[in-house]
Amino acid sequence: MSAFRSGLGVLALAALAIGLYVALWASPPDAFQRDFVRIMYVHVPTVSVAYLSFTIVAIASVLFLWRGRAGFDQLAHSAAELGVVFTGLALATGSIWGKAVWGTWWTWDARLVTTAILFLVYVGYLLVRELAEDRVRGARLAAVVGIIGFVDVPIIHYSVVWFRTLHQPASITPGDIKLAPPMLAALLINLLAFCLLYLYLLISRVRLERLEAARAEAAQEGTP
Amino acid sequence: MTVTVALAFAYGVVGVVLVVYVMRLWARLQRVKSRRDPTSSSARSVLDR
Repeated sequence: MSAFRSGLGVLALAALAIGLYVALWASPPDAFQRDFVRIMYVHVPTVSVAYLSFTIVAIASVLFLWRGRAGFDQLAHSAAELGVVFTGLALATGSIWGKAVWGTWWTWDARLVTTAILFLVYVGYLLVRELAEDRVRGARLAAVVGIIGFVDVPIIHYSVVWFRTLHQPASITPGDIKLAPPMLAALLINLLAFCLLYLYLLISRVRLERLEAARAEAAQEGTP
Repeated sequence: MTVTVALAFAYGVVGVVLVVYVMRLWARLQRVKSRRDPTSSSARSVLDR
């Protein structure tokens, strides 16, 4: 497992290096956004990975509440932490792009607001776990927050369809791709790189959870 | 905001945050692996796995 994890880490690093080259130098500038479009090659993958992360949180939380196995809780906790990191990055890169293209760091747009709510909900998820006096109770409560919070993900995705927003609609929908092939390639390479990085981080984070749980268990056994 | 500043800012933020996160994760992993209870053999066997 350790060799697989190391290999995955090296692969992710190589993919990120290629992605960075393609995003900053190999891909063409956009007709309207010019070179600011290059921020999209890091913004879109961070959002996609955050969606993936919260999907894992929701599924693992349901399984934890249903089966009660600690492994599902460890997976949900790890994915939630990573989801918060990547959502924070998505908000930051989106804000920088917004300042460059829209002329403002922030606007009360449906897509932006619902994404900020998602970030806060999962920060709450992490706080519930940290502040709970009873570890098991905290995990159960966090699982409920993790499941309810996931409702925001489809709302974010369809916010550009349901509401009148400044944020542009999706460029890739089933049967309709509004991107030039070199831009699509740059986006897909970076998406793959971020997915590999995410997988590496998730495996490492779950391993940390398992080691900490094993140590806590061993310490309890040692207590008279 | 110029293109160079915007790109440096966006990619810089992502790079710094991810590097700090990975380093923190590695440090925590190393700390947990090195913290072994000498009185408990079961703890050692679990952590060594």
